[in-house]
Amino acid sequence: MKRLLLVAGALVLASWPLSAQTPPPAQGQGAARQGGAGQQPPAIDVPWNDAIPPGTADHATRALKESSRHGEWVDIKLQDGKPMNSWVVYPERKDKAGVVLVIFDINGMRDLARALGDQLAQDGFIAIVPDFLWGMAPNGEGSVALGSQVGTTIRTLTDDDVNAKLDAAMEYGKKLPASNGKTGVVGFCWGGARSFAYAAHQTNLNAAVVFYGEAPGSGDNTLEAKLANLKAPVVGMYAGNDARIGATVPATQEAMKKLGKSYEVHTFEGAGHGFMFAQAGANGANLKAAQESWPIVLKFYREYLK
Amino acid sequence: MKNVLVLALALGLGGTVLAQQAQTPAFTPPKNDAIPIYDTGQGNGPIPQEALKASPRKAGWVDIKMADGTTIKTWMVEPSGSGKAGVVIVIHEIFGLTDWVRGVADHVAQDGYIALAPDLLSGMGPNNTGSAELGTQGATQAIRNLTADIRAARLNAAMDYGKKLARSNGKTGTVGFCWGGSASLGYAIAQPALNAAVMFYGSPPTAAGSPTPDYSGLTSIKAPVLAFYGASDNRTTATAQPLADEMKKLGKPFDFHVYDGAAHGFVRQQTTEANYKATVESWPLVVKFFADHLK
Repeated sequence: MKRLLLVAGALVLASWPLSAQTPPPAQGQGAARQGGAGQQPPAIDVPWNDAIPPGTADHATRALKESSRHGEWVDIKLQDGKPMNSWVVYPERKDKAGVVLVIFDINGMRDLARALGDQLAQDGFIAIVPDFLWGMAPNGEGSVALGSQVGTTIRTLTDDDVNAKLDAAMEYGKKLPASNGKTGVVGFCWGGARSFAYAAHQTNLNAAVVFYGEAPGSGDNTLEAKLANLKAPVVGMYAGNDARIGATVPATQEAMKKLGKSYEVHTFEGAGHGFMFAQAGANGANLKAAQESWPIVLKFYREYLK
Repeated sequence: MKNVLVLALALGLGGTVLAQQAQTPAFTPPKNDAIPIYDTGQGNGPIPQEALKASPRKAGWVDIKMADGTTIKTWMVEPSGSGKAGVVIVIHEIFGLTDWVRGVADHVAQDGYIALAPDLLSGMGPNNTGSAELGTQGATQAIRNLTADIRAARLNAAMDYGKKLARSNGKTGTVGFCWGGSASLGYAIAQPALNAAVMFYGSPPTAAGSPTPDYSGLTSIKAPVLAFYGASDNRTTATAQPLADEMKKLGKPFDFHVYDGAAHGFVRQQTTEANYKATVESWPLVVKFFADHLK
């Protein structure tokens, strides 16, 4: 029964994942969440820890307010000439740095996504956090102006849309005087899947990190075709208690192996989908997953973006 | 023994502790009346507020009216005495007109200049308010709306206001930090009547939506430009030598200094030894520069 509900939920969701924090706008999604997670364990108190990305909304806001680094909003020019408002934050270092494109989750641009960018900058990278929804709000703005419409609006973005926006962000990053010319990507939930899809699309990408997102072609058994051109090594971070995404991992591993691609999988037992931005959840397992996954991300980028 | 304990702790707690130890240790700068005050946050105290209260100089808010009806809320500080003085426009960081910026204005007045610190975000906050109501994070968002043209028009209003002050000697300089550093250089491009421009960790203009420097405006610069960078701020420091080369090609006076170990925003963030040292070394150069060009 649980399984059936999950499948039903997944069908309604089509190919995009859903963060645990999103209020369910449709019935199927709610069913999927309840079916997957059962009774929610009580939230834990997350200690302040500036060695990993903030994992609660309050910590994210505080981190941004206390950051000593230079962060700024820029309008990155897209291929069609339209602007894409993006948060860009810089490391404190004397030499040039690799650039990491941060793809937010189904909740769009918020302090948690920006603070993750700030963390990457603290760890030595230039972070670009694009608002993929820029220009899609009725007033011409993006995520913040869309408010509760973020979830439904984000569904209208195709992989091609997102890839084109990431191409523009990557080009912007490469041209920065402080950039060393290397580009990585990291995405979460909806953005995790987009991160994988971008690695499949952009052959000049140097490293891709996928947090709990499925590989392109997972839904229709076209993994091998979709991943054929992928060049960048991929690290996948998965939650043990996230059957919907977890179920796609073995086939992805098989396809990547068959194609001779580099794909490193880490699954964090007990953690739930969206653990990085929900560190108070899963009775400590989400926090543990965040603490364990982040050093792996840094090691990976330090190797491939140097 | 201590080392053993630290090692044991590090081994026990894994990478988290190691990563935290890699952070720069806390440093409390000594009281130093020769340089501007610092802050422990993004500019709104509590340290600057205490310093502002303690200042012996005449200071207050003035409303600078623009022709289009916009009011630029400006913090003005007068030097002691009653003689004529040059006017220095203090251009705020990306965080807007904070208490720290007002503290810098106080120091500029202490150095003998009439300081004007305009809130360039005036009217851009909720309900026609400005920096204070936006907060430092809101300011970073709103500041995008200040195009080079709007910025120059607002700085022109401040410059006109300064020139008309009874104590003004008719000379005007700018000193800007971070976003304001870039704005200081940008204003030297926009305003040929400017007499001196100081840029702290700013960068040259770029074309809209692109990070590539656009040097085309440099030809119109008349004011000498003095720039300061922290070596750990590669975002701006990487632009220093190329900018110097362009200025040299055009025969424009441009001098710059890079401070080892110092980060972006070092004058505000004197809470590392390198940042404090960079402030101590750079500020006398600012004083001398203004003395040379605004007397």
